Amino acid sequence: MTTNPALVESPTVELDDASKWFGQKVAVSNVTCSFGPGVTGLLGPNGAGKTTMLRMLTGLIRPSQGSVRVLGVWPRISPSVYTDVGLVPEEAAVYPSLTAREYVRYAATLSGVADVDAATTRAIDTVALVEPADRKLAGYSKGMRQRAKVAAALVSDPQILLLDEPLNGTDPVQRLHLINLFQRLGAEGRTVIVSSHILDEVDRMSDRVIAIVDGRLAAAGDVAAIREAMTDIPYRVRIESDSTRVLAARLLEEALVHGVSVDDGILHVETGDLAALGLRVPVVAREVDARITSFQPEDASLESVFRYLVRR
Amino acid sequence: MRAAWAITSTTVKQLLGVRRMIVFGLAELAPAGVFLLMTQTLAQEAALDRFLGMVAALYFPLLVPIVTLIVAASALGDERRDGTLSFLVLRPIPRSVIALSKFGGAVIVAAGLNVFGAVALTVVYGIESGSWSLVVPLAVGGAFASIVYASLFVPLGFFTDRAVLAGLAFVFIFENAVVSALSGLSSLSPWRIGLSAFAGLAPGGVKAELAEFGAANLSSFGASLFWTVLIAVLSIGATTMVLRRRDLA
Amino acid sequence: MTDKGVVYDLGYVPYEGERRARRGAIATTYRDGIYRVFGIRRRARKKILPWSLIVLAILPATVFVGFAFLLSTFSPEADSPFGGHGEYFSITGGVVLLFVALAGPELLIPDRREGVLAIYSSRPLTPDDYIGSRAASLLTVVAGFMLIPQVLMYIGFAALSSSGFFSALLDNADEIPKILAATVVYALAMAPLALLISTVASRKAAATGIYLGVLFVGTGLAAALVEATSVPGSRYAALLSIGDHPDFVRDWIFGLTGSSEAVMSGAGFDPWVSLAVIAGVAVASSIFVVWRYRRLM
Repeated sequence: MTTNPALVESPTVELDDASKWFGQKVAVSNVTCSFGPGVTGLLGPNGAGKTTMLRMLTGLIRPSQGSVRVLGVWPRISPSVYTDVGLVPEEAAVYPSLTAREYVRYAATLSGVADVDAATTRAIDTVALVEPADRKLAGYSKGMRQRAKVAAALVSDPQILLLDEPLNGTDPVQRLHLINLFQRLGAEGRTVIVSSHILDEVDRMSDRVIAIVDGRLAAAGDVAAIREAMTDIPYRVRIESDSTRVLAARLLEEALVHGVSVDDGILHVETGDLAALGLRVPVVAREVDARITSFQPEDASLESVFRYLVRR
Repeated sequence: MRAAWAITSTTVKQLLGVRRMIVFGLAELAPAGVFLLMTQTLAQEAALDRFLGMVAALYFPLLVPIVTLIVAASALGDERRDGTLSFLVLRPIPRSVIALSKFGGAVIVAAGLNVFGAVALTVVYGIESGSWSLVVPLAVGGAFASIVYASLFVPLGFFTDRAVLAGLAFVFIFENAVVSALSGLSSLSPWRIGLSAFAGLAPGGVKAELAEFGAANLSSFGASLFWTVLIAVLSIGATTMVLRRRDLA
Repeated sequence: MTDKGVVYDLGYVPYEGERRARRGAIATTYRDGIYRVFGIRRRARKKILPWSLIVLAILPATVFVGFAFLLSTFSPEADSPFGGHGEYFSITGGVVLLFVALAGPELLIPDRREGVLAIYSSRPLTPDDYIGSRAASLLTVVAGFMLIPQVLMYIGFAALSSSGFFSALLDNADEIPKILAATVVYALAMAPLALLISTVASRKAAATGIYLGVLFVGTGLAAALVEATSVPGSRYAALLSIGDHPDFVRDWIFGLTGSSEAVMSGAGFDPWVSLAVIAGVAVASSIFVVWRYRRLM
């Protein structure tokens, strides 16, 4: 059983000490991690190396050092593995002279799908592009092109799906539809890797995140566990109460409280152990006869975690 | 096989939109149109002379290179520059099949257009002279020249968006100026390979007449075929190696 | 600061400098055009072709003047392998043709393909300003190509003249208006057509090929029609020899019409007809390009 959160039990996609540099610029540096069934969010600020990582995984670029394996092989030298890999690239490029149906059909043919027509229809249905399917891609909005690209990636029913900013240009309804789709694909046991900047949506669809900062692996695992691992950064909790100052004074006596502040009647507490604080605060409140109306961690979300990671 | 055909047919569709078909079609018909006008007042004996002049001075050194370069430089290069190359290479298809299919698409379009021009020109000549023996030779010669230019410029178009200009500089400076002066280099001249194929298949006397238009030292049809096939095979091999070894994004 | 919000000063300093408005935008677009065609501020690869063509245009004149300096028995007037100023335009004309085939598409097509015309439109820049700036960039570059080797030759000849440098400069001063006039003719013959084709074509490669095709194939066909037939009116096919007209006008300017090899000369036309064709094509091309960009921006 693996104890390293960056590695999974039954990996389908693996990077082993992988690095990539372009001249003097190191885009990815000594990354060792793996991906398995389910949805994994690949996070990082702009220029962190996420797209470079995805390109190495697909074999579009070769690692300068280390190794990359997809289903046990490096796709670049074993193209047959592409039957099980679908990529939705970040670039908006499609073939403008083709209709969406022709584009997806072309993808199905190139992927060696047996029943091309059925697979095409199914993929177009899946991304809800049925109505405009016979219009040329040149006339599509950005969100529609994204869906066409997703359909082209899904048409071969791949076991592994790599999505680079798949929600770019999509409206809220399309976004929700795609998120549900990716969650469903993950639940079916496929390996879905989503690189995205839209943190709350990655939070919603990912079981696990891999965070890349400056080309290096900054964190891995589920969000709560990553936050817990940041022991040098205390949790901030927001507490609303009818006796804020009394409660604050009393909480200061608790060993697990690192500091308190009162701002405009709201109590902010810093602690190294969120769970313990959650158990202790009601007890203390009862002692001082204070009524708690709200108890909210302020920085346990993915966004907060991401911000801390980038700042380190 | 299915994938290869899909790539080839999509490439043909990309390279030959309606606008391009009209522009290229008119360009290919222009020599035939001019020759038709010329034959209105020419004696029949002079028709062959003028026809060969059109072939040696216009069709092979200008029309075939320009049309083929525009088509061939776009075949693979535009996929890379437009960002759609990943769509092709992330498929369970050998790189050699991708290279061959892209090359095939470029050749179908370029050779198709140039053969169309050749047939139009030789049909006009045939109507004037009653001789139809030059239709196939000129079509074959045009096809050979198209294949050789495509072999050089499909891979070059992958590397640079200035392949057309580089190609035309090659045609005008190297082929038309340098090789004219140093006829020993004629086997390095794609359009002369095509012209040799034409001369090799055409009835006797054509080769000698072509020398009057500066097209001396033409090789045999067999040599043209050899060079055409060799250059095409090397090109497909080189393109395959590039797709295999280079970073594609 | 209000009771609902506050903005903190994080050290942001607003721009207090000069705002150049429309003139500045035009100047920037013009300068960007020149940088773009020469590959300045771009990767080394983008510089190879344009700078090679510059060297090709200047090298013969440089080598010749250099030889003349080194060999005292070498007389510029008598021993020049490419004649005088007029004849040298044939060399630079060919090189400039290739350069314009490269530069015209480079100036117009990427902005359309990459969808950045909207950014230009959001600035104090009208469509006419944009296309005018791009045209000015191209004309500047063409003029530079033509003039630099001519200036080199003019000064070189004067320096080698037995009558003394300043004397020779004055004696040959009548060449200056001819050089300038020929430069304008070549620039007007080449640049507007390149911009026209670049406005219509969607790919740089296609625009380059079509431009050179129109010039070379068109001239070849016109020559074939003019020389080889006596069909009534066939001489008018010479008007289609677009690539030939500037050479014919140049011959006229430099008094070389007697030995002119231009198709128009062979067809029995006067040089002013070529000048009229050049002007006509330039005007028609300009009108179309301006109209098209007014619709696009």
